[in-house]
Amino acid sequence: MKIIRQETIPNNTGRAYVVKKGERIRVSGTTIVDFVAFNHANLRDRFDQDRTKASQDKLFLSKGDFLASKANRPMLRIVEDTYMEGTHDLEKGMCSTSSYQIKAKLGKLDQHQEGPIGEVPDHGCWENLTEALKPWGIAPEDIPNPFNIFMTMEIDGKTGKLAHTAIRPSKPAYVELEAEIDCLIGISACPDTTVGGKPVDIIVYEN
Amino acid sequence: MKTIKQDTIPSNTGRTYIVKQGQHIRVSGKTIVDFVPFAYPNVRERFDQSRTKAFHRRIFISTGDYLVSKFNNPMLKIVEDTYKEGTHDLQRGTCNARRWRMLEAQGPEALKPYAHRNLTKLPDHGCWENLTEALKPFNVAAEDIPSPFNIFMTLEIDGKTGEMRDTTIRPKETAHVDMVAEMDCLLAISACPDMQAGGKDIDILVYEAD
Repeated sequence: MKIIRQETIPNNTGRAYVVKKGERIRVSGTTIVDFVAFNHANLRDRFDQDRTKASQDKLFLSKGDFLASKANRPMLRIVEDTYMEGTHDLEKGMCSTSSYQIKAKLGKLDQHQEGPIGEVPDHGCWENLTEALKPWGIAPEDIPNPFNIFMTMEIDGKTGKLAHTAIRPSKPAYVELEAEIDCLIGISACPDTTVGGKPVDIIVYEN
Repeated sequence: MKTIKQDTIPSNTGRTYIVKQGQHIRVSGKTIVDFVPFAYPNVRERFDQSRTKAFHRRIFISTGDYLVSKFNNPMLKIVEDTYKEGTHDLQRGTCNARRWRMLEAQGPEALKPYAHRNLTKLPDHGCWENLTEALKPFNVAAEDIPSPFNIFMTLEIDGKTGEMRDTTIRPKETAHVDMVAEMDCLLAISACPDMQAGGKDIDILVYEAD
């Protein structure tokens, strides 16, 4: 294992990584991580939640599954997933300044929060990813909805209910992905207002 | 009620409509309709499935619910929904030529879900191509077409296991979804080839309510 890059992403900030075909990225943490991918050879070919779900007929991804782009191209494959308490999410977008403002306005923040309502962040994953992806000229509206690692939602397939939970890794867990094409990856350590965001550890390495 | 535009979209083709704030659009049919809104004239503000689901805390929308943009603005509100047999979908993207070719490459096994229709062959194009073609005059690139609000597409979803399956549940009689625009919208609509049930033409009515 040859480490290419190793770092900690502070809570509620974002970073970008170029991960070449065959290289791996390990994402370790105990709270939500917003993970987006772009085809490095054509940044307009982006990760797509729906293509990913449709091509594998499932809502949840884990070991052996792949992240697909809008052009139906496998981008990364999950080679390890140690999160056993819950599932990763492919339903939600990124939290953002505007989503926090709307929730505050509608008095919906309580549905987000386990304990008393604390401070509402002035920014969220959308702003973190926008900032991190600026050097590549990616507009905010072109940041796809993420693969939300460690974000366990309660879904009722009959009523359609989609509810937050406080289910997270009880101790640090990781997801390891191998790039199937050269990828630009944007990662945000989500403020995760449901349980309280924590820093996220990243390793990019050659297997 | 003042009719602004009345149109039939043939199966497996796409059309666009500009619907101004306050105007209504009625989509009637018996098979899947891929419905994609953009703000007009700023077409970079697009419909967003995830924002829509997150806003309502539900994976299905019906009467009284909104279609929300990536910028978290309500674009349209559903004012009537006569589809009672099932739900509309916010999980799937657009069917497309590349996906059909991938399924064919997997061999006869991949055609099994369509066995009840004795299909030997999949279409040469799908909703993604229909929408791309329809949106060309507005300079919207194929990759910038967001995943749609898939009207009359009922999936079987297991929230525990995450299993997601196509069904043949569709409106028995022609049903419609009526939406009022909350902002000026460019709407792109594809009459899906609907491989499960067999695509049919759909009817569009853009109107001003009394």
